[in-house]
Amino acid sequence: MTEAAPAARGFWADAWRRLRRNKAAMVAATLILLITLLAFIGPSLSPHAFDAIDWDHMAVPPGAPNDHWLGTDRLGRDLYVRTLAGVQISLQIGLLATLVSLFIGVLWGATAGYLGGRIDNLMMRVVDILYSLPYIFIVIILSTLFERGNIYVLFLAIGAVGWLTMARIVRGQTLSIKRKEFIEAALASGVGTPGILLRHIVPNVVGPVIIYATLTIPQMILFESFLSFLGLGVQEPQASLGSLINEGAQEMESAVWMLLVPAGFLVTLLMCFNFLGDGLRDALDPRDR
Amino acid sequence: MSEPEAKAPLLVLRDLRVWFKVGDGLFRRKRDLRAVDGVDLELGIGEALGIVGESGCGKSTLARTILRLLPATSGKVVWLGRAIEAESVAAMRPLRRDMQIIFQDPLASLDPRLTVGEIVAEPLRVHAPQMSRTQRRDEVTQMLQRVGLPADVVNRYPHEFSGGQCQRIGIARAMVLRPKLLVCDEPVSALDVSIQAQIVNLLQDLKRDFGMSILFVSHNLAVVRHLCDRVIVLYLGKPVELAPTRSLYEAPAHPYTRGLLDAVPIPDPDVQPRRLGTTLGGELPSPLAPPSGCVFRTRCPKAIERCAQQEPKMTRFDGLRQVACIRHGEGPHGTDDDLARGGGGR
Repeated sequence: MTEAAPAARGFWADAWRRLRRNKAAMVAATLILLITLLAFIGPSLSPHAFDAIDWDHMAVPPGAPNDHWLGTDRLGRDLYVRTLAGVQISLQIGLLATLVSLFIGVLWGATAGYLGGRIDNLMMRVVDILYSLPYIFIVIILSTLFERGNIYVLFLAIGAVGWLTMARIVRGQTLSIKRKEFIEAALASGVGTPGILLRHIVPNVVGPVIIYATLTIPQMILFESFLSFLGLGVQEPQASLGSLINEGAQEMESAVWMLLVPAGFLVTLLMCFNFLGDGLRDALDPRDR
Repeated sequence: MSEPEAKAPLLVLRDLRVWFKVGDGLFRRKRDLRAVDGVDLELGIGEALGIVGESGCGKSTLARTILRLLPATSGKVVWLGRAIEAESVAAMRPLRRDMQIIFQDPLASLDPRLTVGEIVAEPLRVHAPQMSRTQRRDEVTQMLQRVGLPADVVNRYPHEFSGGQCQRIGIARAMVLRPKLLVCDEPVSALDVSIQAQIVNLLQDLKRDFGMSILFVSHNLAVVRHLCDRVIVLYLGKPVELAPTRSLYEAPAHPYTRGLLDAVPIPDPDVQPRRLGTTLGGELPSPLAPPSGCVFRTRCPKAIERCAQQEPKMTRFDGLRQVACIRHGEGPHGTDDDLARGGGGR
């Protein structure tokens, strides 16, 4: 988290102050930070590698007298390391896909909303058409086009399809902002269209954009988990939270920890992102409380 | 701009019309809303011209069309001898450094995400990109001080200021390029009365120092009287009277102008009741369906049958004055009947 400059009590300082007062959001932000740190540092603390098979300890439960802290899976791979590797991948994917959708969605929505008229109509009909295509088919087609296992390419593509809601949100905001007098003042000063979009409109839609982005990350993580659960996402021996939950679900009756460990991390992350998103909404848009 | 044109007026409007298409257009035919309907006007260099009228009479539309923030439907806008009503956005850009605007809602006219320094520097960034950072900062602080703000406001945000201070920031932004024309769109109507006077005096000082022309849009007749050399009165988008300020206030020629002047409250209980008979009654008709003939006839105390058939044209009298009323000059009681005008428009 960034520190607010106390000199200019601007918009961001105010928002930061309001966010800090929101306990749920702060706890969530701290947990996200901790889990992220753990995901990147944690695996090196364990003597095991995420894909190493321990022939002596197969499917041992957590707490058994060995150095597999959270037990092992059916093949004797350390569940602690595998889960953290999964968290790593899920977080990266969630962030990557969200950033791509953010970039396209904000520019598309702001341009459509600001230019208006026929261009707006055309651009938003493109969005409507993409909306009406079944998402999952597109992803399945994409996953066959790219080599299996290259999930980053896949999620770049998913982000590129997932910007639709962002574009609609930004367009709506832009429509209300472009009627404001400060836009007219900029026009009267001779500021060109790119200048107005980037300097005046985008900074003024940033509040709702951050909120929606924070809520998009868990969606993307969930979506990745869903794809991996179906076997379309991360491929063995790589692990993501989704693929781990899939494996765990198959052993649910005999070795429930294989399901609970990755599922626990997933649920915690999703809840934290949602709480943080709610907190940000209150902090950035105090009128809507 | 080259100097030989110095004698020519800064701005000339010829039969300017701005119509908007309204109606949802899907099932109903779109109709024309005549916001500005045939305005002829000349604005001299260094002149302050007031544009007055009730809400919805096209004042702001006219101001925005002059700056080409809105497109003209027909007619001409001539800026220093050059017709600009059809110029492209790119062709307009270099001209904009000489024509600036300040707005009615001072806070809404400032981008909430920019600091005051960035806001005031924006015209410089567009029109003087060669300027260095420090030069630009000097210009900005100098202009901020000129409009009565301390130099250390540059790092603060608009919401930290009062309405009057925000309007000063808006004026600093408009004046930082030393424009030839400053359009003021109801610049004081959102402010406290005490602040209004300060802002009007500031505008007057700036006009004296920088010599720019002012187009002052307002429904506040007292403010216009204080600041402007001439006044044009609009009703439903049409000019009804144009005259030097003094003569217009002392002897309004059009019944609508008289009605407006009589509607100015006078803080004297002895005077107030005597005027009640002459204040404007009724509502502004819809600009979608303006009355035939003279648009004012539905509210005019002097309307006769002929007013419904004949559209009055702006006609000159007394040299500098113009009025659009067919009954103007119909003898002594036609124009300056002595209906109790109380304080004489003071």
